[in-house]
Amino acid sequence: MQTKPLHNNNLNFAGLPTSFNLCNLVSPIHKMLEARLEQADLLKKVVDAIKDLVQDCNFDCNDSGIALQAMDNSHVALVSMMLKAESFSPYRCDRNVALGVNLTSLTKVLRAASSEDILTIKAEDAPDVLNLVFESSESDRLSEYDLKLMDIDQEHLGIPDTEYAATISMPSADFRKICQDLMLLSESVSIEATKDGVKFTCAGDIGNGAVTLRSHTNVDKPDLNVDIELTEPVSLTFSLKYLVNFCKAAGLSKSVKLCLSNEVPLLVEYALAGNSYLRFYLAPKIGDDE
Amino acid sequence: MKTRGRPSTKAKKETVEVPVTSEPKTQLGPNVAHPPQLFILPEDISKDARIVSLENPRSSNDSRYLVCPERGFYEFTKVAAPKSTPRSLLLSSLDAKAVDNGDNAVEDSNDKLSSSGYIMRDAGLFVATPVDPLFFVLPVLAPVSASKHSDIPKKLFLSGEDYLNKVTTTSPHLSTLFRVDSLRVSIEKRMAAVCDTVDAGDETMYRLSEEKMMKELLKKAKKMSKKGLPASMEDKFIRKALEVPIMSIKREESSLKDEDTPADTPDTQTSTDTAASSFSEASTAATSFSEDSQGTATQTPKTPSIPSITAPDGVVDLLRLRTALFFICSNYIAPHLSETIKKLVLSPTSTVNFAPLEAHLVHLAKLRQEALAARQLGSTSQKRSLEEDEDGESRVEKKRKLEEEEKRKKAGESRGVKNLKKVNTTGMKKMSDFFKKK
Repeated sequence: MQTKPLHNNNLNFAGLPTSFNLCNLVSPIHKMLEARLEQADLLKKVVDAIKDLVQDCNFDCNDSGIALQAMDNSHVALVSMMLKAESFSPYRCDRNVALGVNLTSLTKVLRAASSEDILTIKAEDAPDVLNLVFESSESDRLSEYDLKLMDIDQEHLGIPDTEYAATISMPSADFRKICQDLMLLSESVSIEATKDGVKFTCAGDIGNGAVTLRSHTNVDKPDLNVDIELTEPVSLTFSLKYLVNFCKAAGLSKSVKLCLSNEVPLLVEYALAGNSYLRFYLAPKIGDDE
Repeated sequence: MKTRGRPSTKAKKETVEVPVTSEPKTQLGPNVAHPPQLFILPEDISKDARIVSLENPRSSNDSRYLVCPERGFYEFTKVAAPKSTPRSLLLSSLDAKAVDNGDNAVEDSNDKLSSSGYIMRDAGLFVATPVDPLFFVLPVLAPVSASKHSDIPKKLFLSGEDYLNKVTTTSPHLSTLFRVDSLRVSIEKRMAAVCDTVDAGDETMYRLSEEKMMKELLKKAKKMSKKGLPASMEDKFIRKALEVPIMSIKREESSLKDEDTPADTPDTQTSTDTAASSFSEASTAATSFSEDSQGTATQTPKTPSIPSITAPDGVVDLLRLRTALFFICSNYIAPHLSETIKKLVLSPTSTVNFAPLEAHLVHLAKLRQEALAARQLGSTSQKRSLEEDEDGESRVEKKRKLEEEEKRKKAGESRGVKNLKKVNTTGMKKMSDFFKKK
């Protein structure tokens, strides 16, 4: 008498997992790419940070990870993202594939994912769609989205490793605050790095402002450290609008690294876990310093 | 000029009745070189009747007329088959069944022909129809030199003799005929109808009276129109002239309006399209000036049942009258005189008031113009809309595509991207200036 219901229950429970297992068994055979992120948050934030700079871009997937390089419409800024294979668990990419994505569309899909969700992105060989699966770690909810892909002609720029004259590490939130504050006064900021520190100056119609940072080490809170490495003084002017835009990535990393050299673009780098990074390059303003 | 022809003809009864002819004893005919021609002459004309060349009162050319001292003047109207349907005539002797076949076959008394019959290659018939001798006198009553009659103050009374002498100078053949008193008398009678006369001793002097002439001509025209105009004329000059334009249908007969009178000379007029219509037309035309002819009495003008014409009361009759008058003018009256007549008929002093007709025609002309304008407008707008359709289709298509693309771009464009477009990037080099392409 008792075994019967149990037996029935077992059957019921067994039924569902079996089907899931089948899916899992079958799908990898067709998938070119399968990358599982423990936290959907990472991708959400990356895309959020980029989408206001770039409209469409290719996610270039290879066995080392997912890379992205794109310029804004004016071609004065460049974003370079690298999500290494180590950031995923697991990561599998059988062949190099470029996933052309409209970032606004991707944002819409990613909005469906909670920050804590496990995110799996999958794509077939020569894919038409990018398959995104969100698994809630807390509930048994499983969301699955297909995002249409597009063909994007994109030129890749070779970015050499550069020895910068000045490298400033600082809390990303601080950098964001400085940029936002100064943007209220002016459209461009002059970043002046000397041995005394780094000075952000701006001058606008309503007045002018300056924020100076000095090297600072906080043992208790290393996140608040300000580290300035200087080989020679540098002074460059940048568009604040762009910098503020870069700062949307502040949520990705506690600290940001600014690298400056005369006559070369500013590098704003947000380091991510597992050697991944999100980098922004911005051309300095020349001949326009007030 | 001598015609040697033997057109001794005997007419059959035609469906359209033609004056029955007998065989004239006169020896008139074409030159030998020409084939015999078939004439249908009045039945009982006198032996003195002749086919002569007289001055055509309209064209001032010499034309052939049959003049009978007793019966008066006849003009020849050619009744011919249209070129599109060539016909020939078989002429056979009377004792053959010529009578009862009801065809145009006519006994030819010519020995040569009668024995075996004769086939006329050309089915043309010359039908002698009475014509008012008045028309032959009018040119001398109102000579061209006096073309500005109205301002010619001194119009002299002349004796009938004088006028007739003038006529004979242009038409010498008449001189012999005028020796017959009866002919002269009849002519002078006709002259009296259109002239003021003064008795000078035993002679009567004549002077053209435009008033009387108008009266006389109107009388003829009334007579012509009373029984209905020939179908072709009715159709062309009455029906179409009074046609109310239909907006959606193209009408181009504004040119056929009242002022148009048949320009045909008697010669050309006779070669009408179909034998039947030419019969009716020719014979009906004859009615207008054959007051004393028995031909008119026997006329049964065709009045085909055709949809009625919508026009105010009297207008149709007025138009018929005027058409008849103008037809007479254009066929029998010298151009200069017909001009005068047209002026007179339209003048307020005219005995017949054509004002309602004029008003109606003006009204119609306006309607036609409007219809034409509307049609042109319609067609151009249609054209334009067509063009727009083609041209515009691609334009709209292009626009739509552009908009769509724009929309798609916009949709895929975040606010941040949009805002960045507004950023002043002067002084900023492109990334490609710093980083080389891979």
